[in-house]
Amino acid sequence: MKKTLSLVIVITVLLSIVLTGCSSSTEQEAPDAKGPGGTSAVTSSEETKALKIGSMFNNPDPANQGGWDISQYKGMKALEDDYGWTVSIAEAIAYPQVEEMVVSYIDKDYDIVVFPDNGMIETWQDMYPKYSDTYFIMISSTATVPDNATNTTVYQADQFTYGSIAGIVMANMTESKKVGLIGGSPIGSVKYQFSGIIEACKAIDPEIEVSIYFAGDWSDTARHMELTNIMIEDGVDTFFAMTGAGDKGVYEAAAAAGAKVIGYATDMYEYAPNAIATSVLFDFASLYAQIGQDVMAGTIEQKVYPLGIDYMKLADFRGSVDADVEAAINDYVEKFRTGDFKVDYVIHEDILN
Amino acid sequence: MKTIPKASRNNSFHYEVFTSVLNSHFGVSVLAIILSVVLLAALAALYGASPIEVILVLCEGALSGKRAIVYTLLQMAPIVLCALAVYIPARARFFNVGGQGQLEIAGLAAMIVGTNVTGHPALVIILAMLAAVVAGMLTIAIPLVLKMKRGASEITTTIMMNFVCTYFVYALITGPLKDPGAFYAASKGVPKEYLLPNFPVNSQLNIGVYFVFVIAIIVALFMKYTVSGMKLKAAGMNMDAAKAAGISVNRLIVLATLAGAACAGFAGGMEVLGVTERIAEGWALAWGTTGIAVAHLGGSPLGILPLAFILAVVETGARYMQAMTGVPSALVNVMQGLPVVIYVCLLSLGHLLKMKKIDMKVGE
Amino acid sequence: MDWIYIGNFIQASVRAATPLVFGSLGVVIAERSGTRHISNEGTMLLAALTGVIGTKYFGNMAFGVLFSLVIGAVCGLILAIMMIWLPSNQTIVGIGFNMTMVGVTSYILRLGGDMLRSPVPAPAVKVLRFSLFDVFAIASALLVWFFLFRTGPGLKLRSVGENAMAADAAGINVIKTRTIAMVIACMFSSLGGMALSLSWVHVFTDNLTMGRGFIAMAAVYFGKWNPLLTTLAAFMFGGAEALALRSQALSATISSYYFLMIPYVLTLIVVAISGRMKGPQDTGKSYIRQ
Repeated sequence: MKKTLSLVIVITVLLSIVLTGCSSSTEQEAPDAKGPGGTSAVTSSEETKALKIGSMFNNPDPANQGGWDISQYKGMKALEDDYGWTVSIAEAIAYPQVEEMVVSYIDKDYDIVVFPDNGMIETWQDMYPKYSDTYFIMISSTATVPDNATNTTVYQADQFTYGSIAGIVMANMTESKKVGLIGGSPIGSVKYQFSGIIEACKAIDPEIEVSIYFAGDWSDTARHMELTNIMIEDGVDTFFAMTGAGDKGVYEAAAAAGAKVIGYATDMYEYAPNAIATSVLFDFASLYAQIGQDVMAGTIEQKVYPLGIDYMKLADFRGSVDADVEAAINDYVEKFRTGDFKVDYVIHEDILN
Repeated sequence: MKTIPKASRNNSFHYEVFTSVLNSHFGVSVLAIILSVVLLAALAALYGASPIEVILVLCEGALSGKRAIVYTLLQMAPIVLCALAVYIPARARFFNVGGQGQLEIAGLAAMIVGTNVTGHPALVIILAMLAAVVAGMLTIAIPLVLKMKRGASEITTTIMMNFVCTYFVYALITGPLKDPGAFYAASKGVPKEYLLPNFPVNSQLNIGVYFVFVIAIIVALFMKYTVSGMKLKAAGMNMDAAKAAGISVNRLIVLATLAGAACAGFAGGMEVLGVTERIAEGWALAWGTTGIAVAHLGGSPLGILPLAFILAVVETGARYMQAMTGVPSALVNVMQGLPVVIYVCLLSLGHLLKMKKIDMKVGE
Repeated sequence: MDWIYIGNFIQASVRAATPLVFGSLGVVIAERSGTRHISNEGTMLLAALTGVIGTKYFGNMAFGVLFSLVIGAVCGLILAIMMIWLPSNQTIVGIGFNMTMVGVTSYILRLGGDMLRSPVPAPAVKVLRFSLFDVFAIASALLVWFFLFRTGPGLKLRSVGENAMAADAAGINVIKTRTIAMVIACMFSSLGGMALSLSWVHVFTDNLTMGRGFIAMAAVYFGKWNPLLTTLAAFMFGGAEALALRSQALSATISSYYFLMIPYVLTLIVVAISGRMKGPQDTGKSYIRQ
């Protein structure tokens, strides 16, 4: 008798959970009001519809760590305030689980899905042809968009140019003529970025030595710190880290030794005021605002938009270097923008070894 | 020791319900999930989200829609295999904690075969899965030999092998096996024709998942009804008595351990050929670790199935909940570990109470 | 011979070894008393966070350490209840505990916001370029060895791990001894976590320990549960990690991942050569008073 009673209690609880689960799902069955299929799958309907945007990050805390992720996260979330849209961001999603997340968004009739990370390219390639009612945005350094695509746009970050700007800053800032680069994992976009740095340094002062180390992962803070220490022992006084959450280790080691770090993609000053001299910013805020406007106006195109030098600028130096150094840097960057200062486009394949 | 006053208190209705719930595996798993969800809601409330909404979205993510079922099954399958990888050797008192490493090397083997061998798709797939299974067995060979020849604790050696395997796979995919076109740490992908087919065709459910159920049933039948299965059970219970009865215990240990590693190997091959297509950064989730817990808590090959399902469902739901409600992803980790801890404690509490009850009945 | 380079290498090795030393001493104490301490990793992680919280809240690293030790002791008590008072499978509890701790610590980090994310000031006291944590690690090794092998309570603790039934017959309260051992073990594990976040990295980030708790366990098996040998092993493994990072400059062809494997491969080799791993016999077996 007691066994049956406990079974009854348990089944009742289970049933109530299942019923709540199923009842919420019936809400999704309502048909979605979408315009007829045209060149763009997302059109601004008669009413200003509140769009639903979904994204996912590998990073467990993209709002607060990792320059690239912070910038993207903030850019996307700003759309909530500016347009009143729903922006859902999943965290700590391993690459094999990205597809599941995307399907969840599609099931819930999200209008736009954003892939902010190169590692998600395969999933993007698989998914956008299959789900033509959803618009897919890929932020990547390499993807291409076939001609018959109707529901996707790629924004391609020009990592070499980015690296060149970082290189200009570092070449002018270093006093020991030794510059240090730290990468998370030895992946392709790092190669382009670091090549840009090497070539820019070469163009400004051929005597500058560039040291490159890979931490082997994106988040082991202790390892990042030790790598920075190794380079500091070697005389490096200026650093750039293209990594994830482990960048804190770089900041700590640099601050302790009085070395300077250039922040990645986001103004990292508030996170490490003792170490960050400046940051090379990727203007994702403008990008996402632009995406927002294009989507609302129905003018978003299915192609690869380059994120070139117009989306890159330097953060405030806040007096971290002498005025003349700052002036020299700004001068070089201006000349780089206009093309008066050229950096040779040479990709160093051996970086990844 | 006067026990009668205690006995009269303990024979109360509530106590009886409590102990009987605790002594049914099913009851304990549900209780553990409920307690975890309550704690989750409390943590979410602390963070600022609405606890009711969090619970509702969790259930929605776990149970509603085709997506939930498919992805839950895709999570459940490797967990079941990794649990079998622990369970089968455990019958021979070999505690295989190395499922994760065996799975990763197996995935590597399947990928290597899939990207280098050409031929009829069915043949290539079978060859790749075979390579995966063999690789899993090779991976456990070192801990097995060390135990048989040196008496080394396999818990330790298999944990060590896990790390060695993980780093080894990383070394390969960032070095010799790196896909030159890849933009993150990844190997070449297995061509589409050599991947496990899906059934139903339009879904993501690869046929490997169905095989997993078949394997679990076969193992259950084997353990219960075959002579070898019974010999294994005897050997596990009392090795000396089994040896005296003429059972070649060492052979059983070796075969059971290899069988377990083969299961882990199958999981690795299934993941690569069915889900991820390549070996890349973060491709292997913590199935090996979860499998250890599921094996011990499930108690039998068939008991493993519902438990793996429950854990997979909870995890899928938790991920969905995190995306839709904006609570920190840290809570997903909590939902992975907390049910296991609570489950173990409740189960042992049940055992303890049962033993105390027997104690008191004996004492009367 | 570049003495500066060697000096830096030794300093880096000691830095990397200190958390391992504390962690492995915790594991030695726990396992010697008969309890598996797979939960070492989770305890270290929690302590890394609580050390930072305490230092920031009290404005003083000494109080931060004290705070973290108290939390570590409570943690040990809870683990003791789950693993020793209840006849649970200690491996499973450890695994579940570790996973939960990753989530709980990251969650608290989020709650704490920017204040918790910012770094702590480096410890002010230094002995010859090494921090107090590093020095205390070596002292602890000697202390633990002395305690286990030269004192009465230490003998009791070891007997409970070797043969619980005999110890019980001799009048030793097995459950109480194991509980106390677990509390002390978790306090040592906590020191390991604190050494990581306060002395080495000066900040707490998600999953800061990254498996170092398991390297500490490898050191224990390598050192055959002897505190002194274990500490030696921990220093060796710290050196291996320091070497792994420097290896990128030394060799372009051997991936640094192979260097990172060293602690685990070494343990396997030692096990293969030395034969039967004589651990305390009753480790992992729940003891229920008959």
